Amino acid sequence: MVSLDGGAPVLAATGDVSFLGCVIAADVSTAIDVIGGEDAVYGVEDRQARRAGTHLDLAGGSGRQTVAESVNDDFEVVVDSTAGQETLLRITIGKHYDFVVALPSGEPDATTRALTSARERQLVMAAAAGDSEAYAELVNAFLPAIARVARLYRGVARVERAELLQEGVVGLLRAIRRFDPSLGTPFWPYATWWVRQAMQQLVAELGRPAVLSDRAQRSLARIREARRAHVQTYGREPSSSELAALVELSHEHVESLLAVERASQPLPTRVGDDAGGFQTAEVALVDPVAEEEYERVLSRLEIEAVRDLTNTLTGREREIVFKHYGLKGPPQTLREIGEELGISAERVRQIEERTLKKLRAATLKLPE
Amino acid sequence: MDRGATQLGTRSQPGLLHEALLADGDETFVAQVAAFFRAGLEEGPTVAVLSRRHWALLREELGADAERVSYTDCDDFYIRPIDALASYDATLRRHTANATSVRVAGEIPLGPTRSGWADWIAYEAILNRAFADRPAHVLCVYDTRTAPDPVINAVWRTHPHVAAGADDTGPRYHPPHDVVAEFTPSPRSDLPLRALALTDDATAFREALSAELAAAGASRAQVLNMLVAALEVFENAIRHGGGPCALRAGLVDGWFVCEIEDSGSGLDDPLAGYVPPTPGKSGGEGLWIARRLVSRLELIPADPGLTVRLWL
Repeated sequence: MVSLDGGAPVLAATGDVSFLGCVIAADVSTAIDVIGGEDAVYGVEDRQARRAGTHLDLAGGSGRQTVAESVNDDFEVVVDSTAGQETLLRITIGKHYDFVVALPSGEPDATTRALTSARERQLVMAAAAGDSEAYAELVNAFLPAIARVARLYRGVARVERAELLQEGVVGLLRAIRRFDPSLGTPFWPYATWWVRQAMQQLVAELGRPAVLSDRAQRSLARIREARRAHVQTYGREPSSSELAALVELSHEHVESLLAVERASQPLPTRVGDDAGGFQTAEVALVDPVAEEEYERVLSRLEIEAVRDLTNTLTGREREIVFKHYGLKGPPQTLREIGEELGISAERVRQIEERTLKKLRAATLKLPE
Repeated sequence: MDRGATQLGTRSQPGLLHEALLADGDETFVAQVAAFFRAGLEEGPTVAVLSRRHWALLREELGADAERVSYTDCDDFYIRPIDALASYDATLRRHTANATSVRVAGEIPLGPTRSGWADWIAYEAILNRAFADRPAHVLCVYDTRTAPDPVINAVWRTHPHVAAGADDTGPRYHPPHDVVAEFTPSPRSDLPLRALALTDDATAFREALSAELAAAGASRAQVLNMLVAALEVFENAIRHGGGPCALRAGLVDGWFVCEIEDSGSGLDDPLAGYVPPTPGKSGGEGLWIARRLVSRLELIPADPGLTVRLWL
């Protein structure tokens, strides 16, 4: 059982409860942990009195079902839709909270589930260390799940799905970099907090109009022009660091201006902005992510390079280190490497020492 | 909302002023942080490391002055404590290169897990030592409606100054050593690790370690990170610990773990490796480098001596 007296709920690794996800309530003011047992779901708020949940048939069913029994009249869990490997639940607590959480439902569907949990964990840890291939594979695997989260924000004016997906991917990266597997929680529920956080921030930001000074407008014009020229020359969007170098402004200044630009257009009437906060998601079929959406997200991936120390090495340095430590085929001795390269084993050793010093110096230099 | 007694501090001495603001909602947040920035704009650079939502609110309040504040999304800045310390170090150095003081307002995205909260509590304590001599006024903002109780309670212990409206009766500041020791999880004992051949030759050690990493299926990036990190610890053991007396490695719950033990005089500083090295000054940066590259680094008394445990 979940211990709900005092302190935050215990996030058990095994046993009868698990941390299923964390959601931010509609008014962006409270984070709610969703704890699931075999037959019950609880929404638990840290700051306020605990409220217990209801029995819920987690084996799923599709369509809409209202849970009949309530431990507490205030708490209602409605299964909104079941599609593929996730169930969307709408949870209302009294008048104040109305939010949707995605839960894994039933057995993973072999055709739709891209990753086993061992593979998932392996990829997450590799990506956190800077392996960009692992990161790309994770984005690919989770983009449909991110898209389902994005569906929650349908109906919020001025927010485009593509933007939400981008934000969701950024949230995924943040979760990857912070994830601690010794917690015992599965990765995706942990990641949902960060995915939603990124989307929530986008939505909140777009709600505030801002006025631009002449100087800011001129800087923005330079940024737009630099961006356009970069796309034309290199066929891809520049990263914000590249943009900053191009327009000779600081990275932070560029980010500030882009944030202002996003919010500076006039705001039409918000749709779905009633006390409930979220529009009810319509009963959803599996929401396929269009090919071009993948493309856009993945091309941005290349730009936002995940930290990879080997970027600082020359080809030969990389080759020596990879060969010596078996990072590219079986490991070779310094002598064998030397023979291949036509240099002495001692020379190989010296280059390797220098390479390791370079990697060390690169670590000291991060971040820019 | 004016509670009458929420006053932010002023720097009266040359070093760091580390202050916390316990805000009970958006109104307090915006009013106080805007005042903080406005007071700073004439003195020198001002930096905001805030959520985009809060920055949007603040921008409205600051109007034209907002353009003079440097903004970074807090979700990208506060990744792990060691990363935030490195980013802070770079930010402070950059902004004080041509100025005598800098103001930073930051909010930490605490995340949904308790272990995350403990990490950030320790981080706040570390700030006091890591940046003690920097000419900076750092304002850490917490929302009392949403931040977990353990975190709010700890704010009083990790910040020499707390601006919290009328309620100024919390527990007081504690030295960083004590707070970090308290909020560092106890190391697990008896991990199922395999002994590696004992050596004090760095190349032999690297070869053995990389073989273990390859057997564990680590990615290239992970192997390199671990090799560089472990080398730092290995060399520390030689330089300061009389040479390693045990080397161990293995898989624990899917993590790759490496331990380097020496029987030297030990190390009783939970903040070791958390203070950013000074550029151009060498010596003492080995543990910092190692902490940056691996997921977690633990300092375990070996009685006598020290075991450094690296989690990849």
